[in-house]
Amino acid sequence: MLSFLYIVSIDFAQQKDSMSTQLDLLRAPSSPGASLLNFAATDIERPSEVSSLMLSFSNATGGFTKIPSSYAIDFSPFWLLRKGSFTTDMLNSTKFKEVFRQTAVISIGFRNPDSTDNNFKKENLYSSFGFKFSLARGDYDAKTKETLNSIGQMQVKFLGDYHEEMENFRTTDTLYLRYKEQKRAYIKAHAAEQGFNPDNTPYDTLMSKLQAHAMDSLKIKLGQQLKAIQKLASGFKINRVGFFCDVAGGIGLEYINKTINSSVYNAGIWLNFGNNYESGFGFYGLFRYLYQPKKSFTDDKLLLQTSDLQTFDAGGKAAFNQPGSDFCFSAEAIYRSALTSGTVKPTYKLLVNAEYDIGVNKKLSFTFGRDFDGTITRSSNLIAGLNFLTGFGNNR
Amino acid sequence: MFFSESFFRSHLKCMIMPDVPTLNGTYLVLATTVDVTVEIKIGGPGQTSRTTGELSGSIKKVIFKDIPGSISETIVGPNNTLDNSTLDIDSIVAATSSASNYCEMLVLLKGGKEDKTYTLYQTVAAQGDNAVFSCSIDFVQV
Repeated sequence: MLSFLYIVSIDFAQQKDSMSTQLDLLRAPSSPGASLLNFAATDIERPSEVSSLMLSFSNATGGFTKIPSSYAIDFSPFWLLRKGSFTTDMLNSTKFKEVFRQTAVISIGFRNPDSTDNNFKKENLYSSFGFKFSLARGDYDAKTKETLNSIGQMQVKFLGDYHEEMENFRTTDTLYLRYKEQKRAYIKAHAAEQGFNPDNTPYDTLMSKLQAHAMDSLKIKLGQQLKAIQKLASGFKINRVGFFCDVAGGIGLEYINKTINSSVYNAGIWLNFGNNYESGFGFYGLFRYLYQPKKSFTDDKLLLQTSDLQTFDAGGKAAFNQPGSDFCFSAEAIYRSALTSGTVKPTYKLLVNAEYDIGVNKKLSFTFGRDFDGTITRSSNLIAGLNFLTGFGNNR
Repeated sequence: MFFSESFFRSHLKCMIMPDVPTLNGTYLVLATTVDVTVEIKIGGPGQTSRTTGELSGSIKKVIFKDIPGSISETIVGPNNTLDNSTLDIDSIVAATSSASNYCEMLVLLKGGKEDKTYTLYQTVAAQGDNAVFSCSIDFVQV
């Protein structure tokens, strides 16, 4: 699948605080482990099943034979181990155990830089580990509940018709019943044999083929019902309202001369919280602690210094993004203070962003603000002082 | 690393195996009164489902009907009553997740001769498409 071309935006978890725009806020979860090693969101692999995770590791490591040169991955450990419920009926749970299991994400990154990478030393190796989970999340908004309710009703109708027809097949098809009886007789005759495995008879395969044929016929017969469900489910998005609180953290390690001798490259802890309202308004807060040892910076005498830098950011954001609306607007302010004396001075960042969705993977956006270093930024293009963003690939 | 290399390699097979939307199996039961239970796990994350399970054959009984999502461990019946009966499970999983088209149904049976897990899975073409799963497990007393 081709990846989207989009610029990562106002993401409180980004170390560089780049002033760019994310195309779809709901789809790419922040990745603390990857962000500590400056991976772009498009470079992070996010397998949702074990087979994809295996394929991802295999590709990155050359068939488990080498350390990857550049690799970042996010995965949900509880989902991979099938611990907990992850379907939409339970994604609205407010129990902390369920919320934690469903939102916990582990992120891992590796970098084996070459001479073209200016941010890292090519003689060293880098790894990172991060985590993210939610302490609280909002409830489904009214539209999400209504859509799920409609999908559920359609599924109940389909399943009722489907199950009735399949039971009729299973209890009346003569060939299917003959195979079943032959299987029972065979198993009872051989069950006492040492090493006998009831799954090694040919009957289950034969019965599966018959059942599959019946299924295919039924799916055609009930095709209109499936289409109706598909139509409703294809544009489904979970939107939440209410209070939320997310915690994330991570640490990056630097392996000197690619040996086990390692030191901390950087580390960070994030706390995001806020409240979303049905009207589309949202108010958010951020606390972030970053540790960057041996960080180079320019002091107030404009001299280049190196020191262990610890910064603490606090900020707030107000946004308007009504579900279903093509327009969204946000304004944020972040104050940064240095916990290590004699390093950088406190500073602040202000950003205003407006976007208008003009189609699939296409947006017009306007960004204006002041970065931490005092740079005034206004993103624009040749058309009219606006940015035109588009993605390549499928609709996902 | 969290998992061993053998764990990784065993799951590489899933990458080249075709979808498995239907499955027939056999579950051995004993001449005991211990209950056989069934648990259903539906995935992937963000999908929406309904599932019905019914006993047919010597015993006719609805075990669960039109249940959304995963189903916690549910009693099917004592071992010694299940011979010549079949547990038929049908499920529809709509790919409502915007992050993945992967749909699966795990059927976990416990209490018989040994615990067994049956896995059905399908990756649909696009968000919104439906995966329909049918699983029939014959109980045979040995």
